[in-house]
Amino acid sequence: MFREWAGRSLQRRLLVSLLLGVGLSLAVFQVVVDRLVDRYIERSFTQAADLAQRDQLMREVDLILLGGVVTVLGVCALATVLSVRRGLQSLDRVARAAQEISIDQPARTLPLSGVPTEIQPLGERFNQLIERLTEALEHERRFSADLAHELRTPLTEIRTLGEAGSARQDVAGLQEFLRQTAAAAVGMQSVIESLLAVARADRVAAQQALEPMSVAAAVRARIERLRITAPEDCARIVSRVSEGQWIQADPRLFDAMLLNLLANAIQHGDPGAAIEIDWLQEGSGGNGALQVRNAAPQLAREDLPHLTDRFWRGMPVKHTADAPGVGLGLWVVGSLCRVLGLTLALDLDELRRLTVRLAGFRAL
Amino acid sequence: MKLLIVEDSARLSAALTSDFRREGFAVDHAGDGNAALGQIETHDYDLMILDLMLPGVSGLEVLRALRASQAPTRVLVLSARDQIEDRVAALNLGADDYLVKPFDLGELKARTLALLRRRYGETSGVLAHGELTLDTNARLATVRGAPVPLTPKEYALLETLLRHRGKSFTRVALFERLYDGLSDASDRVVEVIVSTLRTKLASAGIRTLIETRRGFGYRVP
Repeated sequence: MFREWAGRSLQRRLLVSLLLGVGLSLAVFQVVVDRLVDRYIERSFTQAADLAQRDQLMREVDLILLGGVVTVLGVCALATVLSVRRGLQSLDRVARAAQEISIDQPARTLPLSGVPTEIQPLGERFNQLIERLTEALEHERRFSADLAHELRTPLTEIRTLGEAGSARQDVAGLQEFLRQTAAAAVGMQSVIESLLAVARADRVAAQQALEPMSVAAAVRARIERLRITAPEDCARIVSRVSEGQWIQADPRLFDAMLLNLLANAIQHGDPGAAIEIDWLQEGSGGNGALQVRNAAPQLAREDLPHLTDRFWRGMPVKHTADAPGVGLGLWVVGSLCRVLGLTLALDLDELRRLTVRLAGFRAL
Repeated sequence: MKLLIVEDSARLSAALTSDFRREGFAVDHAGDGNAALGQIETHDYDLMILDLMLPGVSGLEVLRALRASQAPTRVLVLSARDQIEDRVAALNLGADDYLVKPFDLGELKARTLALLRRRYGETSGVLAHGELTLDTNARLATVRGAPVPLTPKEYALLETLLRHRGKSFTRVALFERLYDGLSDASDRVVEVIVSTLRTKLASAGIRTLIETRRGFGYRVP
């Protein structure tokens, strides 16, 4: 019972330990002093009359010693309680702060000022975990909000096309509605895939499978795949990447970034102008950069900082049934660059040509 | 009734345009904010269906410009933004209604018709003139309870004249109300519509509803 009472509280355990220690020391001290006093008195009192006086004196000495011990113990206990309580105030504060942290909204860390140094690492680690948990929850919330928001438009398209199309009597009109509905569904799929790509970016970065790959072959393969859905737009793509250019990269992620760059150029660029792809050597360090350039007559220099914003709607978007992507291209590319350690640079020259450069690829 | 749909999704605006045109509305479309500003400067619209997130000039800026011009156009905001502050901002700037995407097409039409009734100070969806009754919700004309088979354009013309009883409309003014800006038709088509409308009303027993005033146009007295 006592052990249970004392063991649950650090304060009580300290108090009990201190009292036991001080009590034991004083008991030993009392025994030693008692013995010394006995010897002294025995030598001083030898007569029978003196013996009664001696016993009286010894009782008084014992009482004084016992009173001293009790007084010292009391003072020590009081001092210990005050000292320990003062020392544990910071821990009480931490405990209260910990109790106030909500499971759903852990956006609060523990106050570690004044906390005993032995507890400090534990508190710091706890705070790191809380921050990580807060980030994860915020990430999840943001993703859910983004998903809901971005899905509203294609979902509205599908629903409205369905409702409006069901009232059509002519077969040709109905077929067109169905075609548009399918295209809206493809757009919805693109939105989901883009958002998922970014949501998984951290994991993908950790699991990227680096391997030697030919940049020219990857660009060629991507253009061929794009040609299936957007043949006219692909005719405008000019690749000047040399055949001998090899890099160490994850082909899947490289393709995802290239697809989004090209989709962005097709959707927002001048439909009559070429889309140029180049590979640039970066200094003598063996690194290289992928560059995509297209005419963007409606773009202004002040728009550049917003191009990687997900919600930015600065330019008209080419919305056709066959257009790839849904306008999230540069946001996806920017997010992938961030987690892969690449540098994304945007520039608009005096001819209103937008240059997007992904730098930091390790050339072989 | 003339509508302007301001929406950057070509698929959505095409579906809405097609559906409202089938109902007899004259519908124009603007794919971005700048185009919308141009349209509201040059045309009078009864109602504008406005998306907020537009390329270039935002929907809120279009709304602000419309209200600054004192145009009586009713505005129904159609947006993917569902936060209270977005609704409050739009309504405070002068929007008359706010519908969050995705929406029910029937609800959009009902709200559109309600706003148009408010635009013309009507409390019910019924316009009556003698034995002729127009149900503006069902877009149906009846004479003594019997339906008159009108085309959407005939109905729209009759509704316009009944809503502005006593006011004369020139052929061009009626054409602008019945046809959208991209129409290839000639304004002479109005004469044809008036003629067929008169014939149908006459066969239903109403012979002198639409007057022709030389130099002023057509009116319902």
